[in-house]
Amino acid sequence: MRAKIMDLSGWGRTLASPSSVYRPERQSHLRQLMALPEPFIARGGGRSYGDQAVCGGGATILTERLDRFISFDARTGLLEAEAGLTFADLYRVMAGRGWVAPVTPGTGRVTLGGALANDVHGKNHERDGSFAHHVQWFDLITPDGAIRRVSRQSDSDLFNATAGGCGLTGIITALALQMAPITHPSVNVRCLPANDLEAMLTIFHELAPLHRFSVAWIDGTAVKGKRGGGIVELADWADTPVKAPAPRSRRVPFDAPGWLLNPLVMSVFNQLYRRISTHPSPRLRPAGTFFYPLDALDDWNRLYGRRGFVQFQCVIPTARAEAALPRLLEAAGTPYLVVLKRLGDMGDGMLSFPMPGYTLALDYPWSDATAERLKQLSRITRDHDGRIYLAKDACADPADVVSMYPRLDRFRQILARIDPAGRLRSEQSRRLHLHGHTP
Amino acid sequence: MTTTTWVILGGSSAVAAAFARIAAEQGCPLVLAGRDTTHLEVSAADLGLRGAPLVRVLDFDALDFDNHGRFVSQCLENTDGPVAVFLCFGLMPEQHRMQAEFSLARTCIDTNFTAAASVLEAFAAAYEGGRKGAVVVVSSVAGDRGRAKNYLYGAAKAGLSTYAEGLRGRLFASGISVTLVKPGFLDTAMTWGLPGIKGAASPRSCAAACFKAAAAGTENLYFPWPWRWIMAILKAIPARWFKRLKI
Repeated sequence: MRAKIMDLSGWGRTLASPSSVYRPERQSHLRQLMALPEPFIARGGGRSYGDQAVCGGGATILTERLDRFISFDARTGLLEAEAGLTFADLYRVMAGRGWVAPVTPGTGRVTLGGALANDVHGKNHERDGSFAHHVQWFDLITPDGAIRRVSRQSDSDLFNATAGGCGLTGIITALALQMAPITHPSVNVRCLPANDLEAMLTIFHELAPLHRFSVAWIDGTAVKGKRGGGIVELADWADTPVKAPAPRSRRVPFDAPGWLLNPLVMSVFNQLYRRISTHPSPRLRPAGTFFYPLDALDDWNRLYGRRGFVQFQCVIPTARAEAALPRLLEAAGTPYLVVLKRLGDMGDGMLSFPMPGYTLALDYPWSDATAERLKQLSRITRDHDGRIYLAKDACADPADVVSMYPRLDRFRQILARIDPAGRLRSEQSRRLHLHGHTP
Repeated sequence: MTTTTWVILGGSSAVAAAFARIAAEQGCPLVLAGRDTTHLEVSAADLGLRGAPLVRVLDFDALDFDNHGRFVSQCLENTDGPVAVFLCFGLMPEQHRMQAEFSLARTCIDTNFTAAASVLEAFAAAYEGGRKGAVVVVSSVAGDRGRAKNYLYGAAKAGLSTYAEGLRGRLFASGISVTLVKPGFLDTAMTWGLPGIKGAASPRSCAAACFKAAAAGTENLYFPWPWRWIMAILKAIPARWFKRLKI
């Protein structure tokens, strides 16, 4: 099998590293790649924002062509599928039949394998938990070349090291996902305005528990004082069907010039968005457009131009949120996109991100000033017992991870057992010393 | 009107797999034919979920000419409706290796040309016997003119293209269309990692163009379309200059 030498980065298009990239088209070819002498990592949709799915100086294995459905039991709703299947494809095939993934990330371009490796969460975490919770088993090729079917019952340590484990336990080739039944792929959405953070948190506290899905967009360019104002979206599955728009995605065909997304433009965009998007009474919308709003514009990351962008996403426990959120927004400067969600109980994944509390995500064009700002935000997060989401991370340091992820030691023990030679490696795992030793 | 059953020859290749998905989404029954039947069984399950009412997997070895007749009978049993063929198997070994070892060149020629002719002749007999359907042959722009850098593969594909044109003439009286597709660079395992591949089109887009062309009964399709003009120019260069080109 031939490799292609490519500079790969994450969705933020920063931190590119050269890698020998393989793209197997059959499972048998993937298994052959396990004999590679150099370190390697699997890459699904490449939608992690930083360097999680790049093995610089080693091999990166693209799973995108290993994307078949294997079986579906219409009585129980259990789906078996290859790990390269995307949420978009899954939705396209199954939603019309009355089944959806119980947890879906914000873009359909993520693969099932990537979703497990990051134990992704959606807009319904309080009610439905994170992705791994709904996975009954997965097939994993471990560095020794063995293919194991891993379930909580057969090997809970390996299961929980893989869920959220950033692909470091091996290559996930297939998994069994418990799908959720729905009547129609349509949702009723209310969009409530909030003038400031306090109003927003009140809406979250009082109304979010009454709905299945909730997410808030905060105007990052709002004048001080009104900081934290925005729109809270609350949604539930609807009983009536709605006509979905013809699938037609537009693409950003080239890197935008660096001056396109600037504070003035973003401020205007934010104000317009606020004005047109508020509707307190429920409106019926196709579920696809609610779950994957940004997928209408392919390659939207190119709007940031060649410098790329980063996202800082953290979670703060409920008890500390009232103190932490204003501080974070204060230190946030002018983020281009700010999203707030509530999260519920922690999962069992050792490096799983969610904990009961609030998660804030901030997007910035990349620059040295941004790097400084992210350090500051990280400090505030640590000071309030919160943690950073590894799926979005591009700048954290090893000390951050040690303090934020109490189960890191256990994770490292499992890795030492499963991958003693450290064959699975990403730029992120190197940067954060996830293996526990400087490689 | 019964839906057309599509027989996908070379079912594990990226373009064939994409074509099978499109046909499945249109609700067509399918026959997946290839050597890696383990792989094809999973593909069959996938295609069933994507909309194919029935998917059969048949063992098909392109180089096993003696069994092609039996294979075609197997494709045609089970249904009286139209049975169409999507021929998309091929082999592109490195030119320098084929020059060093003729047995490899022979396998290349036999796979790309002889095998295709063998299986399509068997289908042709069935079509003349009254079966309805259509034929799509995936050849290559490489067959349009012999170039020093890949003439062995190119020659086999040239043979295949001419064969398809002739077959079209033969089957016209039986109402069967033969669509000849000549792709330029496609983004598949065949071209992955090769230097100098520009503008490789996705397997899905090629498969969609093939499906559309088959439905319309189109005779010839270059994909993507600029290749029609690229090859026209290449073909127009006089031989005394062409022979000097390092392409």
